[in-house]
Amino acid sequence: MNKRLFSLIPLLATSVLVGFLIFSINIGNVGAAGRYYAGYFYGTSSVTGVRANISNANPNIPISGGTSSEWVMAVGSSSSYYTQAGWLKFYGDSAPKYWVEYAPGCGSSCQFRYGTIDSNPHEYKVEVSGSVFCGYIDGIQKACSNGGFTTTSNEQFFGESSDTSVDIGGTQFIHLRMSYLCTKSGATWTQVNTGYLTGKVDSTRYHIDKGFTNPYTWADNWTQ
Amino acid sequence: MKIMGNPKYLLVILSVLVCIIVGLLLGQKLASERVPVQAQINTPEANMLVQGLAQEGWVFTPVDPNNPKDSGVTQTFISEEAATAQANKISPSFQKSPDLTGITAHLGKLNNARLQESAQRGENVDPAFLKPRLVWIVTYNGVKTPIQGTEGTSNEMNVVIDATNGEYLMEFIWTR
Repeated sequence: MNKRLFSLIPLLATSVLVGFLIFSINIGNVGAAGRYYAGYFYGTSSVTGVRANISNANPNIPISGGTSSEWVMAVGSSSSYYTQAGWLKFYGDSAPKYWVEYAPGCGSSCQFRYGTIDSNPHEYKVEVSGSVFCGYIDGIQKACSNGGFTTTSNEQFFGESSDTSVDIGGTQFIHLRMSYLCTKSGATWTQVNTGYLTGKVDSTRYHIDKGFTNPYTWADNWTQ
Repeated sequence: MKIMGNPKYLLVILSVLVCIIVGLLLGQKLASERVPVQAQINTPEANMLVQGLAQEGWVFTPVDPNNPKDSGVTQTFISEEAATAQANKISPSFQKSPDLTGITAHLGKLNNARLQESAQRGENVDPAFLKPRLVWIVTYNGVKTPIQGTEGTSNEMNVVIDATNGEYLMEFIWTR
């Protein structure tokens, strides 16, 4: 009996190791999250503000290291200069948080997240204040960029996800979950002419298509 | 069927299951304790934080938690451990990140000069950091976070906790 018990020691030791490895793999399971987009560009020049209302969403983030977000954004003469505002959810978050991001800054890009969003729609805006673009949530200025551009001709209204299975919401006919899309020129806010937002309305939900990995493609790519 | 009816085999299976559970618990304990939390002031890390934030329009004045009155702080504040626990509670994924190399916490007064300038121009700004506010900045070194605008990845996450009441205020990334 004792000999048999001794013979089990390697098996038991292996079991402990297996248990440890299972946990280690679990905490170390960071996938190579992709970046997928769905949304619109709007190319009006000399714009000093971009805003939209975005209704509540709380998608599941299935991949460790993954994210989902929806945002409005102003981009400078190159993609190294931008300011965006919206909501952003990380893997492991119970809900998205209010969020403002800009570049350059913070060693690369500055990303600030604030409290958890509530269930109401919220207005997200980037607008020039003084001589730099700043991020606003519900009309309240949250953070200001380091500048580098004071007008944009590249306004963006987008959803972004690390996984195509993420379901953000929307319907077949109202798949753009944003409303009151506006840009500002001079001192005047003007509602975006949706006739210039090309796209298709064949989706039933706001899933982000797997093939659409380049945000600089003029397309609306919500698919089921 | 023979195996199921044999108590020796059942004992072996039970032992294996117990060992797996012990292994899981050991792994979890080691993972949660592998990074010591350290308060720092007037260190290269603290100075780097101060200088970096200054470039983004933030004013961070470190306070020695052991001698707060030296910095003019007379109010009571939560401990470093309590601040870190609060940050861990709000954002549990950071402490579990496989890229985590250390957690540090800095006590200090934080305000945002850019928002102050905007407020002076009549803008409606977030009042949270208009005046110097006593905070703990809990830093998760090495934690990778996707940057939405550039498709890059940062390697430091900072959670800002109100030092007087433990309220979560915000979090921000850094790339070093």
